[in-house]
Amino acid sequence: MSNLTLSGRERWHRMSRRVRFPWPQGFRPGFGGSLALLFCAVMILAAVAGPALAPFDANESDFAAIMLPPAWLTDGLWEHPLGTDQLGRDVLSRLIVGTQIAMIVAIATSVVAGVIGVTLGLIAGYLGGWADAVISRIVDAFLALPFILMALAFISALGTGVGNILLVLIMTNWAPYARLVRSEVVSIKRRDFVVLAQMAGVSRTRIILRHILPNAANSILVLAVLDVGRAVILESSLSFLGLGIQPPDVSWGLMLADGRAYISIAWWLTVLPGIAIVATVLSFNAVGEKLRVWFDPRGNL
Amino acid sequence: MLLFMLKRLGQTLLTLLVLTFIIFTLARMTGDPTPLVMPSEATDEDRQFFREQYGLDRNLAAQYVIFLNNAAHGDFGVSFRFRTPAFDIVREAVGPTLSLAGSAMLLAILIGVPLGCAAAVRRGGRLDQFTSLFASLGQATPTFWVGLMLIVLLAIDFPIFPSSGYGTLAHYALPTLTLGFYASSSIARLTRANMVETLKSDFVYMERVLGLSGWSIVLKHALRNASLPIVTYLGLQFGLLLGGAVVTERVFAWPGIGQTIVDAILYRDYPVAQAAILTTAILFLTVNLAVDLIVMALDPRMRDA
Amino acid sequence: MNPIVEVPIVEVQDFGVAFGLKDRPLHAVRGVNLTVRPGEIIGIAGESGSGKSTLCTGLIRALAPTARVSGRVCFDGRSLYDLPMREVAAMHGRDIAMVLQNPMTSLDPLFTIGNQVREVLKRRGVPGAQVREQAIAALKRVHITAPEMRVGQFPHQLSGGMRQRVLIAMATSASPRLLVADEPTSALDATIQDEILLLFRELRDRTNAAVLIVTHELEVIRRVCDRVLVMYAGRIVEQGPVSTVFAAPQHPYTRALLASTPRIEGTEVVLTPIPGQVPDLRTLGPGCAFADRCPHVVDPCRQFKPEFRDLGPDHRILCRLEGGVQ
Repeated sequence: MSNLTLSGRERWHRMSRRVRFPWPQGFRPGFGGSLALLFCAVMILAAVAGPALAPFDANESDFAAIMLPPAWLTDGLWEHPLGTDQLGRDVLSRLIVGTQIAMIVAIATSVVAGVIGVTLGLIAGYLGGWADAVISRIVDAFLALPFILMALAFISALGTGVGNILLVLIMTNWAPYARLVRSEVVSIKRRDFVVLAQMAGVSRTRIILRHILPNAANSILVLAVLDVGRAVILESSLSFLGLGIQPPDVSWGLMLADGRAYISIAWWLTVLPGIAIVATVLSFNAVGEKLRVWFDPRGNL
Repeated sequence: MLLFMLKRLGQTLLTLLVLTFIIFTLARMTGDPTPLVMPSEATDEDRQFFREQYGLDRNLAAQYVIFLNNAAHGDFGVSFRFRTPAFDIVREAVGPTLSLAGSAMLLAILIGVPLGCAAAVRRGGRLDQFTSLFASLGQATPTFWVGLMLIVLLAIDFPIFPSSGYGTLAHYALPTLTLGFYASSSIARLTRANMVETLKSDFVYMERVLGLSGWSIVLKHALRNASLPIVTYLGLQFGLLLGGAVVTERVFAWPGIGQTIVDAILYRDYPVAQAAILTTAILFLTVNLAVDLIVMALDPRMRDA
Repeated sequence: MNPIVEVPIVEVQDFGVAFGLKDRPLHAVRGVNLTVRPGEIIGIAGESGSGKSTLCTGLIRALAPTARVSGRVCFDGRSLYDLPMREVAAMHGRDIAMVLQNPMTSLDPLFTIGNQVREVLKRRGVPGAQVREQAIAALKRVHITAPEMRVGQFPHQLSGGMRQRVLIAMATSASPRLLVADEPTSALDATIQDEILLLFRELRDRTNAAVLIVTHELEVIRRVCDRVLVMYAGRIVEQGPVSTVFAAPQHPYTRALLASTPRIEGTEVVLTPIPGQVPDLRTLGPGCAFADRCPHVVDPCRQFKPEFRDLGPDHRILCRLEGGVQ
């Protein structure tokens, strides 16, 4: 009864006191964080299930149903809940298939760029000397240009399309990992337990894998989650410029570029894909933030 | 301090060198540009002359040296598309981009710094919550979409500003708001973080128990101390603005470097693309170097170092 | 001791400070009763975490906003925690002054010494024309050499001792009636310590201000203070005149603390560490907090709250052992 008068947040607090979700020890995502986690899960699910979830083929044109508005508006049809575009393609289906591309590109970028960056960072931080000097200068150079410009430089050489965009995003996103891991390693390797392991004659690789990497893992994970959001924005920006994903592949950025011409007569073509991007990036960023607070409660309080 | 400055200068030059190498390598990956440049009726001697002129017949190291030497003289070759020197095209685009980035920066500072300060002073208050929401939204929203939504709102639904173009002051409104939105959210977030940190420091506590006025403590002492990292960040932010300008210029048909780069890539006009990217990089590195030197000059501890 | 009976400058009744969650509070200070008279130099001793700093900042209402305070603190007859914060802030610096532990970080690094001293003087209402020379005079009072030159220097150009002098000059520029010094010498070289401590005596002699010195070094208290408070786990366990307490400490903890400071016996340096650990303030039982480390512990110590017992003029302990330790 009284539940109806409560705000969503208050209702959540009451409920969460009764039902405890089995979060790991000390992880308190709260209302917003749980929502973000849920949304990320939905996005990843949409990426895995992909076209199977979509009611229509994303590239199937229906010239009898061009630029239908979303179903809740007059002239809208429930057959196309989020309307259709200038070629009569179902917006909801295109958004779902676009999710697949966005998630695959972003997560693959964050994982592969992470592996490359972490490896180089470990080498630079642990070996020091020449290896460090060379890797650090390359990292500096890669970070000296805004990501999008670096990406454009690579695209001008490699060309567009899903494969090339993935390659470009990996090439432009590995450097922050290397910088982070290098600085973590430099501080960890001076700590007592590493020095003791070295004196005990433990091998280099074993020290790196057993002692140093686990200690840097938390910050790497946080960076990787935040990186997903950044990659989504980068991919959609490049696609919007016409330099990213190319038709017939579907991308949110591409949908926005197409819808732009009809901005004054069909707002849903520019508003809905934008909301999809913002909600996705917001959720991944929120999850990254929550993880950061969980791993390092002092840093954020 | 002189030593610091020289070190910083050397670092910048080294970064630039590595960057030019990356761009050079990428440029050569696109293959021999001769067939693209020379008209189809050119003779083999002409082609050979072109190759020699740009050192394309020599080994890669020599080519890199020639590339560097030419770049230093502002010679990036001739635009495939316009048949004019590539650098001239870029030079014309620098002004509009800088004025757009500059006005967006100004807007972002005017919004971000006061907002971040107020949020830090009343930590956990309504304004602080608003600031963190504003910051998360700003980080999560692609600039081009902000631009599109502003066009819908302020150029179509309420036709106050022109939706695209360049020339009058009114043309600045929407692109500046678009770029400024992103920048102000991250400046607000950084200002807040640094102010929170500074307000916790011993000397602020000391000034409180000395009974100094709250305004003087916050605005004179805390903000001045927090401003050192903020100013450094503003330099980095300027780079992000240059990046954001690429997309914003596209949305608003702004004749800047971003537009130039995108067009050059779309038309495979490699000399212009390289010249534009390298010019942006140099702009960005110069701004950062200048900002670092300003911060050094602002901090009395660095002056003695 | 001061022969004339004066009105106390600070009166504290059943004072307590708690941090943390409402349902799981951490009592950093509890049950403190204290009277400070003008012209008195009081030393507060205890291990780290005993609540001595919290007590001092609590006395002048300069705690972090998250702290929860109970009991009553009267400064000059006015209940400090019942006044609006605006009035308390006006007393800070003028009537109540504080010197912090770390002189290296307590000055704004971006402004010159002169600029900072002058700002304080202007705040005290010193007319503009006199600010310059008064700033130099204030620095002279704390024995800073070449003050004319120092006003143009930045904090990082001064030594730690020098900075602490500047801070004391700023804190005492308005002849405060109470000066709280939180570990004023712990960050300084031993040779500088004495000179700084001397400044507190000079201030007392000049203005009849009361001075509270928080320290973990008992030697400091013995040299400059009139009265000593010994704190343990948030409570004052023994208080009395320095001469009495140092000659014949009555509380087992005071004894242990005195024995734990290194002293020279013949050719050897002797020190007896206190066994055990400082207790966790969250898990204190009903009995005496020192019971687990006390060599004289008897069963009732663990079960019942210890009570204050007066042993002589101004001398009381928080211990149930009859007549203290023999």
